[in-house]
Amino acid sequence: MMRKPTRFFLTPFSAALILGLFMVLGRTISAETTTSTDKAEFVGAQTCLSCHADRDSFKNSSHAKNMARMKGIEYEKSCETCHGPGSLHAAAAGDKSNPGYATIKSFKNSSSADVNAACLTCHQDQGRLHWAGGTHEKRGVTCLNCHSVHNPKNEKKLLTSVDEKSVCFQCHQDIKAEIRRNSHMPILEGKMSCSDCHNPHGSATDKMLVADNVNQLCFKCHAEKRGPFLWTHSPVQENCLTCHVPHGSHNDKMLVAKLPMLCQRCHFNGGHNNAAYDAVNISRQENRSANKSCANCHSNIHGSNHPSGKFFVR
Amino acid sequence: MNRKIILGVISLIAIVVSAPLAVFAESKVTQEVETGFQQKDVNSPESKFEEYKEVPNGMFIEHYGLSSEGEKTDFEFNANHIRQDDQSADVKIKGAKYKVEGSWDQTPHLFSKESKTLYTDDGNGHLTLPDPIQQTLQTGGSTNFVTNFSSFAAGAHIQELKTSTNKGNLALGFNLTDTLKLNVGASEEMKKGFQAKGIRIDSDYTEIARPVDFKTYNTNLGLGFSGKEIQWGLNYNFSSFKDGLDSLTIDNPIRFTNDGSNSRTGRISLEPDNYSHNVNFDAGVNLPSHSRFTTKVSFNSMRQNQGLIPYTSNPAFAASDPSLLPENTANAKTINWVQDYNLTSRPLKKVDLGIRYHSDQLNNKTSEINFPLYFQTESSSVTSTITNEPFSFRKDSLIGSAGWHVFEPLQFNLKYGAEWVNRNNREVRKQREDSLNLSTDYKPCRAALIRASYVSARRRMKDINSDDIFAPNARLFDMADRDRNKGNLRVQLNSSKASIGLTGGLGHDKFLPGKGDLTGGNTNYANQLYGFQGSQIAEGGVDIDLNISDQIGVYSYYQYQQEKTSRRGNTGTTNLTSADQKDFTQRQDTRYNTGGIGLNVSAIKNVIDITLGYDVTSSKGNTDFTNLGPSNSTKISPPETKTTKQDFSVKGKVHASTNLAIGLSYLYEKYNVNDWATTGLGLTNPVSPSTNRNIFLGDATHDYKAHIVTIAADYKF
Repeated sequence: MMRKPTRFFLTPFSAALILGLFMVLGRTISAETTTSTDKAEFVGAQTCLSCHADRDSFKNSSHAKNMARMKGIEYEKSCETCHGPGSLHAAAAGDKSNPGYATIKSFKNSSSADVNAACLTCHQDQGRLHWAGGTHEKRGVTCLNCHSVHNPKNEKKLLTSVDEKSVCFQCHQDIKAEIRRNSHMPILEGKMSCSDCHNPHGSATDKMLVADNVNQLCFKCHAEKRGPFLWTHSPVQENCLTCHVPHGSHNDKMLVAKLPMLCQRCHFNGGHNNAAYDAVNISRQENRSANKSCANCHSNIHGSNHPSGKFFVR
Repeated sequence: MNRKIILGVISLIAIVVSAPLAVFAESKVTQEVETGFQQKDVNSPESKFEEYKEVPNGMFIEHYGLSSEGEKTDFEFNANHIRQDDQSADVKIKGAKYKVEGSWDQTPHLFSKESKTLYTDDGNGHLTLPDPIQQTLQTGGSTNFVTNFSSFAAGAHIQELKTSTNKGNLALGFNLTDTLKLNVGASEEMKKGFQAKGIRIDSDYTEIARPVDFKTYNTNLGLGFSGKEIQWGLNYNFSSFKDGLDSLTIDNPIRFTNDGSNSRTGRISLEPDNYSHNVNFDAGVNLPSHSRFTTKVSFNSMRQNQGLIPYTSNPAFAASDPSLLPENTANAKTINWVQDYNLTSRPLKKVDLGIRYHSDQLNNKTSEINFPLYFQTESSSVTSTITNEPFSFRKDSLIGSAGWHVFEPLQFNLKYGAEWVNRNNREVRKQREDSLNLSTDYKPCRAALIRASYVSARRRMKDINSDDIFAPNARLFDMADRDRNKGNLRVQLNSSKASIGLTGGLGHDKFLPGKGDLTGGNTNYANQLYGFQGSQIAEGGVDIDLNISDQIGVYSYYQYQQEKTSRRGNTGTTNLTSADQKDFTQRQDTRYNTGGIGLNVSAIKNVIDITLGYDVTSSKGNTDFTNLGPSNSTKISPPETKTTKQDFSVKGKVHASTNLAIGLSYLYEKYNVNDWATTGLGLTNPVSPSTNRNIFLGDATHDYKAHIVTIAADYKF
């Protein structure tokens, strides 16, 4: 009854085919936009500061320092590196009716694509390689939703909130509640951060995981569960989230349901596993309901290396 | 290029050695230390209070920092919670072309402070008991078990259940050229302590404090290229896990002598040593017409070849001789291939398109071993051959998406995906799920967003393994036919003065019995009636941040989450034939209420700050039996489980000078728990059992109240 999964086949070819089709499509219906900054020239940061004095603190920020140190962009050129050449804007002297006023890139009114494109000009490295097409990009999230170049509340990562989790919780209110549940990841205690598991800049997985899949992610800390075991509990090997909630749960061990009911979601056909363990069983502290319930005896539930470990009790 | 890389690596090594010495010569150095005194008062030994942290009494050092900023190099060192169980330290050195990061973190995980055990750990994987305990409990049998055991229980010693994980990490990044970056890293993690583990020896169950002695080593090497149009990364990671113990043997508390039905000892296998290799390649390329192609191909090889322990530790059986095993080692290996190809395009300014193919394939190459014997427990021998069944799967998905910015504030998104799953050695071998995701974003102004989304998905089984003991066609939670519908609404308002978020969602998963002959030809089966019937979720919340003035800020949040599930069962002992007589339906309802409110006041601007905060999280779980058949009419639903945690804090901080701040804080924590699995749990059953004799560690849950007063000074110099 054993059947091997279908072999790895044709996927590179398929990918190349799709790629080719898109390139043709792209060339056919190209819609390039033009900017009106063609005639503007660079004027330098001191000119900018003559009106935008409140931006003076940028000079001492880690962003300005790294622009100079890593990219060779001196402070004097830093404003216009992101906002574009400012001569026409400066010449408008604050007159919004002057056509030159709008030649500067103001990210307050830019589309998410334009904001992100500006940042990715320098920051398009391996960590942000999957930004395009990722969940955040698709949802219209911009770099400036999480990072503030001029007024960061967290100087190290230029975050818009005091720490990483606070930034994430701006949108992910459900997760903010989940990590306070009785059984939870130690995020509030400062022993984990969201980016230990997720790459907010995109990845090749659905939930922007920093690993190939859920199990490979969990194995980063729980290498003892990696096995592979002689006897595998197949739902475990397929996805840890079959039984565990990733952020927090009412149930011990961050389980999706209380034992023994969790096990009975699949094991309900004959034997002791399909019993209706009720208040009477519980009051007697029987070993199938009290303490760790099924896992009292089936304590190697993630897999067993015992010659007789088929049912994970050994 | 090669010469540049070699020179880069040599330079990197030189920098690692010389950088710390060179850093201070050129720079301004600042230091910060935060230290103080703390007094705590906790009224119970509940482990939740210090589950992942230590709250010390007396003097403590919260933080020490040393940093140096120079023209060419930055240096930073931070240490937190010094000399506490949850201490950590990190160091960073960053220059124009390189970055060196080192960290060390200690994370405790406290499970129980009051667990008790009669066992002594001999340090070699054997937990022993004094002979009189085994002799007395054997002679007394089950009738006198509780009485006899209680006479020994008084001599049980406290065995704290706690692990401590120490992780050291070193990462080096070096820019070989403007576009080429090299990353090298290594880490070592040690986890030591004790965790609860159950061992069933013959017909009885004993819980022991299992020694934990894990070591994990990781090394990685990566090369990344960041060009304007093309970016790629190639990484290799090796991970090795070692368990200090391969197996654990314990004395059987109720048996002193061996015979063909009883064993004096029990033995359980522990996590095998294992290692893995991972090679992955990521790439992205910008294409014409605002298009981009990204890909990831990753190869994981996981291997363990631990020696197998004998079938039984009971010398009354010849099978206690390891030479009778058909193989000496497990010879287990899996290969995990993951591929992702993603093409996105914005051919028109208001239209974006995407197509993505993702494949996740686990090939289990573990040897199939035919074991001629099977010992379900130490002394229950069966002589029929059993064979391990390596489990493999392959999941392929294809997703197409499109977004249309109808006009400036309005956008529609559509996503359609199909996933095909192939498995072997599972109840369902083929499966397909189609999903449709519709969403719309409406931005009436810059500060506002209204987002509505709806997901509809259909999962269908294609090839049911009718030979499987748990099939045919049970409504298994993770594989059965399922119709999913889920909708979400989000409203977000942001301004410099206020941030308001409203969320709500409803979801329904309906599990179906499937189509066609679901009995696998066995008319005794009525499985299609049973199993997981479905689940419903509802959630809603509000999150508000108000900056009333420059000196006063208020925040509040509340989130309600509920999940209801239903499962139909039958208490028949062999197969599910007597549908009506022994039926029952089990409904579970879990509700969460989480909220908080806080106030930040700058009483005297830049001089005195005061913060007040209150957070509460409450969860309730109910399990009810309904639709009881006549045979189950006496079933009584289990009691409610409930936990509530409340935190109230007042903090004041006086900025006495630019260098010195003094803080005074009071924190009150209140925790209430009611869990029928662990509340009042003793070392054994409260009454003499008719069959099983259980011994627990007494890891009971408790309410607690804690008061913590802290005074601390933060000095920068």
